Amino acid sequence: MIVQHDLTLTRCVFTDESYLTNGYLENTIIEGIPGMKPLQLKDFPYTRRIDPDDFAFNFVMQAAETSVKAHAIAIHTFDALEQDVLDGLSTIFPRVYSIGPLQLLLNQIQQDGLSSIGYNLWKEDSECLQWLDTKEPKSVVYVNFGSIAVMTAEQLVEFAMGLANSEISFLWIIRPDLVTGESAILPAEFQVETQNRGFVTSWCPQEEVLNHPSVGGFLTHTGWNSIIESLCAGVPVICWPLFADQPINCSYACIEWGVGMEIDNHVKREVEKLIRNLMGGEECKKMREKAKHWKKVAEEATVPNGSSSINLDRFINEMLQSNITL
Amino acid sequence: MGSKPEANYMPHMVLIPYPFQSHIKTMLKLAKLLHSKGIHITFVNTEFNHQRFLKSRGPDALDGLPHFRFETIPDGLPPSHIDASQETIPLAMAVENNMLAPLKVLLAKLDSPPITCLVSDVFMRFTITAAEELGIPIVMLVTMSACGYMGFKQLHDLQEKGFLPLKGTNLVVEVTGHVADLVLILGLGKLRSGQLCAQNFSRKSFARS
Repeated sequence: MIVQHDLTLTRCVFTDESYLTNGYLENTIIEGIPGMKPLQLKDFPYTRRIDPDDFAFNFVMQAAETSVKAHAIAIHTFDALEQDVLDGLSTIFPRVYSIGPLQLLLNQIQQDGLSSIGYNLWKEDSECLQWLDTKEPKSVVYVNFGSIAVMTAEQLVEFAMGLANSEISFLWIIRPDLVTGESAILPAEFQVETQNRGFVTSWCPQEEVLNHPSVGGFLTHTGWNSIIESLCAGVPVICWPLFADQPINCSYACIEWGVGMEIDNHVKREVEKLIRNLMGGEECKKMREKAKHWKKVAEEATVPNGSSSINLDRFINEMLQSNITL
Repeated sequence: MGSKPEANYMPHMVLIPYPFQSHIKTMLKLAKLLHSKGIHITFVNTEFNHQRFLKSRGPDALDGLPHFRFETIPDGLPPSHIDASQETIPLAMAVENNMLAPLKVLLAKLDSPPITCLVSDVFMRFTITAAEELGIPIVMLVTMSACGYMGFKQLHDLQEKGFLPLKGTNLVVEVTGHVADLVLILGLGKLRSGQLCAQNFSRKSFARS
């Protein structure tokens, strides 16, 4: 007791893991957000946190709160895809412009030297495009978990065996840093089973891959670039969302836009089944129809009089006239 | 006469992406579109990502074009593997704490042509501080879906309404002080919650002062 005065209370919280598994995240439905369908609490970003001082949660929350001070915000989407949510955001932010898909707008300009400015922090393997050339139309599933997501060695093996057992051809991007804390090792039986129908590489020009006629489906972590690029290419998706906006993207892709199927928490068994469903059968047909529809609508948004073209010009005018004091 | 005086009247936009591959890609696409509309572009990468671009795209990858310039600011993080994405939390901390000062230094240098506007990733609130302090207009780019961003924008409300953070049943008390105080702390814990247990205390909480 005599040292009591030396103590400093730095943190006092209730914490355990029970709320992650007791159904609270799934059964708590959040309604009444302007322009949004009802969502499960688990769909929101960084909600699997208990600590009120959690840095990531507070970082993104404060960024979102502060962003209302910007003169305008532009969003990489298009009106026809998310009209309701965009209307909802317009009740919160002073000026909201949907200006996507940016690649479709870029396709319409004379890029001259601009095309030499590339986007990728990893070297792209373009050999995979030649490999795709040798495949039948819509016969290949493309697998890529994006630039940030990491998985465990066990999950990697589950995906590998799902791909092997599906008997479908695949192009799989395994970044050097995809597996946490170690290098990615694929099981020997995977290598044997897939040597004639699988292509594994570390990074690729994704938009060219998605637009390749041989690609018929995309197994994705549902990062936004991946979703909007697959919509532009008319390719349906299997969703394995991990964090940030990915769960909401997944929910919208599967339920609102009709282009996706979600992998259960248990990767095992699911992967094989979903890949088969993605690449053939009734569900595949429906999703490909939807994906084709969104591709067309995305193109319409980006023609010279399309909504995104007009919005981009308005956004630029807003910037040019924004020399007002904040 | 000539292009120089004219160039000085060009609108000049400074684009600052969040230092992640996916966010940079989207911001670069917007930069190209703005450039095609006659706007002078300065594109600000972190030094680390600048080096990664040079490695993946070749030494002249970021030489830029007329009226399209690349600049860098440090993220203040210790060196990490050049072929791996930086860890998300340390990087977010760097964005929050390390990048305002170097950005302001850079912006002060960019006066030809004068800056019309900042275009910042929406997750970089320090850019709003910089814009306010320097009196430069700012707009922001959301490199994700509208539904995704609305999700982020609702976090404050979800917290206010008590949905978040999740509530557990174990009380954790972290203190700094002497290891000898452990008994005392457990006593405090018992007063609050029978479920308090010693392993909930992180080692560093007991670093000797």
